[in-house]
Amino acid sequence: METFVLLVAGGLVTGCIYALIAAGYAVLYTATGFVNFALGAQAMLAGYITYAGFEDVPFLFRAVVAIVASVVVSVLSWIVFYRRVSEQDMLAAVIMSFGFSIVLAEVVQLVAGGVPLPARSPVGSGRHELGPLSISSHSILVLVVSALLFALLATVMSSRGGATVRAMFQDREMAETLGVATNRMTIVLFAASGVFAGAAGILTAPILSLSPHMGTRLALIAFVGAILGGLGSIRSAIVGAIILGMLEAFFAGYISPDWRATLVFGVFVVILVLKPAGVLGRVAAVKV
Amino acid sequence: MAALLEARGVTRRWGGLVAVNEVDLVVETGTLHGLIGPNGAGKTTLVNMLTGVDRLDGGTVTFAGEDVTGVPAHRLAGRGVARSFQTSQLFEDESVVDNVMAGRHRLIEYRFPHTFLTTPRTRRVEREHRLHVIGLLELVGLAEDANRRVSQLPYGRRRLVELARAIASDPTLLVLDEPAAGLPGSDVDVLAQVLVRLREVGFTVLVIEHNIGLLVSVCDRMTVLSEGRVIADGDPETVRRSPEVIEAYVGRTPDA
Amino acid sequence: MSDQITVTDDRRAAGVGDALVTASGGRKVADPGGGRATGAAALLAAAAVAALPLATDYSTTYLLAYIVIIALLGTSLHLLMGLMGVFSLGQAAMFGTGAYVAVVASDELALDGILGLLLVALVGAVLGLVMGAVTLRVTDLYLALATLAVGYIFENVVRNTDWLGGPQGRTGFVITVAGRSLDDPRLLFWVGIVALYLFIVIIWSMRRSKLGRAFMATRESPIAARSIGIDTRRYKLLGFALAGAFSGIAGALYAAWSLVVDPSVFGIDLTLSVLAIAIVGGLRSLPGILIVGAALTYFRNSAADFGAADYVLLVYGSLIVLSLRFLPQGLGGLLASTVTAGTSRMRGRRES
Repeated sequence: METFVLLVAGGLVTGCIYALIAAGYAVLYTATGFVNFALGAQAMLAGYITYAGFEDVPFLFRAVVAIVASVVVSVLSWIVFYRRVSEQDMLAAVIMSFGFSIVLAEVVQLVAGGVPLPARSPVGSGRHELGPLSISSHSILVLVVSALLFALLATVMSSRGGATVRAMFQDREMAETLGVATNRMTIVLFAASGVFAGAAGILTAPILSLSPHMGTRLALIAFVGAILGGLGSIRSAIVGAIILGMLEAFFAGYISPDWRATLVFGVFVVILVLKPAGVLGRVAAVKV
Repeated sequence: MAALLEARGVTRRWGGLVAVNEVDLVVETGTLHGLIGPNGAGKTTLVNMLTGVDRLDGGTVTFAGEDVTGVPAHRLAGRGVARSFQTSQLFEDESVVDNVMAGRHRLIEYRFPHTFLTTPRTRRVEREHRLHVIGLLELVGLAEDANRRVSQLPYGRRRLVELARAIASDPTLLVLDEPAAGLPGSDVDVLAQVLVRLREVGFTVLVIEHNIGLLVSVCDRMTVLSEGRVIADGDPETVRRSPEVIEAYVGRTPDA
Repeated sequence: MSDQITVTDDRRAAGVGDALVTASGGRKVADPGGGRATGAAALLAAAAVAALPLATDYSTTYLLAYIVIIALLGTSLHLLMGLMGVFSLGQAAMFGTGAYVAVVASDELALDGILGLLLVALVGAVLGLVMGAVTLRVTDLYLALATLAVGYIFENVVRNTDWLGGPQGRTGFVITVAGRSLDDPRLLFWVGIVALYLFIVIIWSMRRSKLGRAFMATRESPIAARSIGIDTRRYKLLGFALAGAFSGIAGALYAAWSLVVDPSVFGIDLTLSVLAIAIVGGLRSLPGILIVGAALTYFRNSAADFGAADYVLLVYGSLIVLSLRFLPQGLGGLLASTVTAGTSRMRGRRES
């Protein structure tokens, strides 16, 4: 029972971090059909800015700078690189974001070195006993911050702005004729996904410690989570990512922690075989 | 005359909408058969089902005496059903001649190892087929464009490439989905000549059109589809005078 | 009805088609793909490249062998991405599997290299088939990630399998061909170049035949391909199997080249370098891929000499981003468009 509760909590924490990135994917995907693989690298960048050096600056300030950096990278990479390419070939733009994430990782490696750096959580390393559950302060921080961010996202998306975003996904031209400034809207969404990626990086660093290429893997796992739920809706992407985190925790706890990657990517392949359209379940009709 | 293609009670639903409703269609060997109907009548949906591109929600399809209901497109094509598409499905980055050569896929056979290595035998077989294709391009008036890339051709020429590619497989049944749509006048003439020529040499052709005029002059038989149902079927003159057909077309496009 | 079935007989049907185009008999058809001169030049260049190790010192030969291995991988990517239009990131899985199978074949099964390489090709082909089958119903992004995921799974499996050496991998194996050890870079180069030339000849032959057109049709319009009788699934599986076999051989030769095989052969590092080569070289252009493959491998190998060792992946990543942004067809596309522009200019002059 105790293990079970621990695993639920642990899975929830990991799942929330995946879900932050997954939410970033879904926010962009629902509006533009683009999957930004560099979100993982942006998370990594935010992690480094927050924890590597500048110890004398207050934590909150470092975190804000980190998130701003992630937002700036997000928006600029769209304007400078992805936008033009995605108009021609969406897949090329996605591959481009993959290449860009490697560039970010390598730049960070040149500046900060390739050796993994430990990161100290702003809430310290204390633990709390809640009945059968022993949970670290940092885990609580992860849960609270992600819950807040998801709630914020839900509020925004259920407002008129959210309806606009959905309209863009349905029919971009129609949205434009209805007077939606799709370009400006897209930039706002890239900024939003930057906030989520930044938060994910700041929250995950004390758990995984920092390494330049942590983002690539994070990006891929979060993507698996997102399609497990369904990339076409923000809510299902978040839920899918949390489920994946739990699955991973149970697998690690009850079977073997060494085979986690096999599980995660095995799940991915199985989904593709069983539900090839992604779990979105939307299959394009044949039109000839 | 015997039936080459026989569809019975073919049905397709899109959600609550019945796009094609219990349609019977018989195409006899050696005829030029017109399938007409206003836009949205379900012609393309029907043809997609007959050629294995789309699935059926009901009914059966028989081709050359065999039940081919639900047989996938590539198998049907292997048995000799070729078709053109209404929206362009050409191989854009390739030359006209290569597009049409692809249409001969089912007729080319050179076996291992000739498939993987260019041997004298592959060269000979390729050359024979290429000759045939060039002749075909002359027939449809594309000889001048043979080595141009399809993406560089004007719209009307592209439609003719599509036609040539379908003919290239020497089909037992040739299905043409609105081959005249968007063609300039000169190309429509070429098309009409080709259709007549096809029938002369013994092809069986099913032509889809929304324009009655073009087909009345060349078809042996016509089937009229409206709102997913067959409203008339028979020789062109009878069909044209049928009150149901006149009603279906009244108030619609003046070209009807 | 049944007495009319003969109509579907192919010969009869072909007769109909022939009747249609009888007018065309006896015309000369231009042979596509260049004339004799180009063929002779290609042959000469191939022989010259194969003779290179006779003139180079040990370390250069060693580098050449590495370039050939990467060229094999690049060529398989050209087949998958360029000819078939399948965006696969599964090269690392095939490559790594080939490396491990080669080591097991020589260590455990005591097979000679030729049999070993055949075994590697077979296993690679089967792996390719499996990857093709798994991704049969998905395209684009999903396919790219599913194939990438296979690499991650294999890496994880190998890392946790003690028998294969776990995270440290295996060393101390000797891969031989006809009794001679492949640690001789010259021999390694020649074995590699034989495989590479075989692969290139297969690809060139395919491009000019039924098979190549089937790949082309599947890539450009699967619906149209099926409507002319092309079983698109079959060709996709065939392409994956071929790519798997040759990527596997590349991996086996890499094992002989590096003298150590560890889980990093499945790593993102390799995927990234091959991707950079394919994108910068131009997916559709085999010469482009071969040139860029040689150049980038040279750069990578000698980066340390001019103090750029830390910048290799940065350069690869940047090349991917910049090439997609400014040169979407890659170097090969640039070459091709220069040629086309040249010839059409010439044609224009002649016509006017």
